[in-house]
Amino acid sequence: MKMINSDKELNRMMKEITLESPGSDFSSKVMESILPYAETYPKAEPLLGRKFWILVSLFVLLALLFILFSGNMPSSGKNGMMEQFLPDLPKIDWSHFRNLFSAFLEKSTSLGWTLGSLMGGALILLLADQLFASSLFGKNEISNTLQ
Amino acid sequence: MSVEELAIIRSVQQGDVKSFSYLVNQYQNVVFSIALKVLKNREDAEEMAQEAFIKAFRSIHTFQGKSKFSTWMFSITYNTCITYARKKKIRTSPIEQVQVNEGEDDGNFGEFPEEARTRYLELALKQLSEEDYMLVVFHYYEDQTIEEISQVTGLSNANVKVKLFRARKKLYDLMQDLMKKEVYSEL
Repeated sequence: MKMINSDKELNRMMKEITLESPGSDFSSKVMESILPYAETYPKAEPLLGRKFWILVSLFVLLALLFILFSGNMPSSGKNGMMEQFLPDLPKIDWSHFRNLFSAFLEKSTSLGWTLGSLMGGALILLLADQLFASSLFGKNEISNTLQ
Repeated sequence: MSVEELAIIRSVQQGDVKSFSYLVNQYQNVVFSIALKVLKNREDAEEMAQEAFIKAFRSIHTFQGKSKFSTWMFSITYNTCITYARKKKIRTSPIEQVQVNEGEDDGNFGEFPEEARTRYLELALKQLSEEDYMLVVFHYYEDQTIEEISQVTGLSNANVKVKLFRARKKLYDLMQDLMKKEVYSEL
């Protein structure tokens, strides 16, 4: 009990002391010294880079365009959503593109789907690897720095 | 580690060099006093404290916030100072593992006159060895846990506990000596 009191008392007393301090220009000296290193400083990269988000945005944009021009939306009536909002737009014959897409789906062999699945799987593994590498590296950051 | 401090570290990691000055201001006194205790010379201490901050800045991109920034910073400081002391052949007391023995009891710090307590404590801290000084400052001033001190010093948790207990007892004895001397000199 005495030990706990002594521990708490010292903790309280230590908060009132003034430690030795360096010269008043210490902080500015440090900031001046780090400037040369700041130029070549490796900045932290986000796990999912800009390229990834551009690809995702493109995909979303394409999906949106597909929905807008497909004419299959329940509220789109005969001609699709785009015609509802902008009825005076020149009519584009999308049937050609639709036929191309259908032909592509019909001609896709099981080999194509396998290749696609492999690529998708590889992408997931790559992302998982990045995640694991970053968390393992962070585990022992003190010893990593000191080496 | 506070949310504000973590945000500042993230900002430095993303290239905002100026934010690093907050961390320098925050830790310069502890870093400098550790360096001074190990190197026993203000010039060397200032140089090595500066060196420790430069090292910290250069590797801050590896800091992921899994330990406290202070623990990480003090590890860099301690190692920078020890390496320099060895190079300059400055005598230091190496941190050694000790036999665990917790039978004794230490004194009560509350018994010192309140108006003189801080002064006695500051004087007694100056007389402590660098190892005891670091343990006391890390634990009682910087609120580092036993595990965190163990990371900085490389000692086992049990050893940190025992050494901390002994350092506290030594500090109490030194303060008592100071008080006695003062009382006798007044008589």
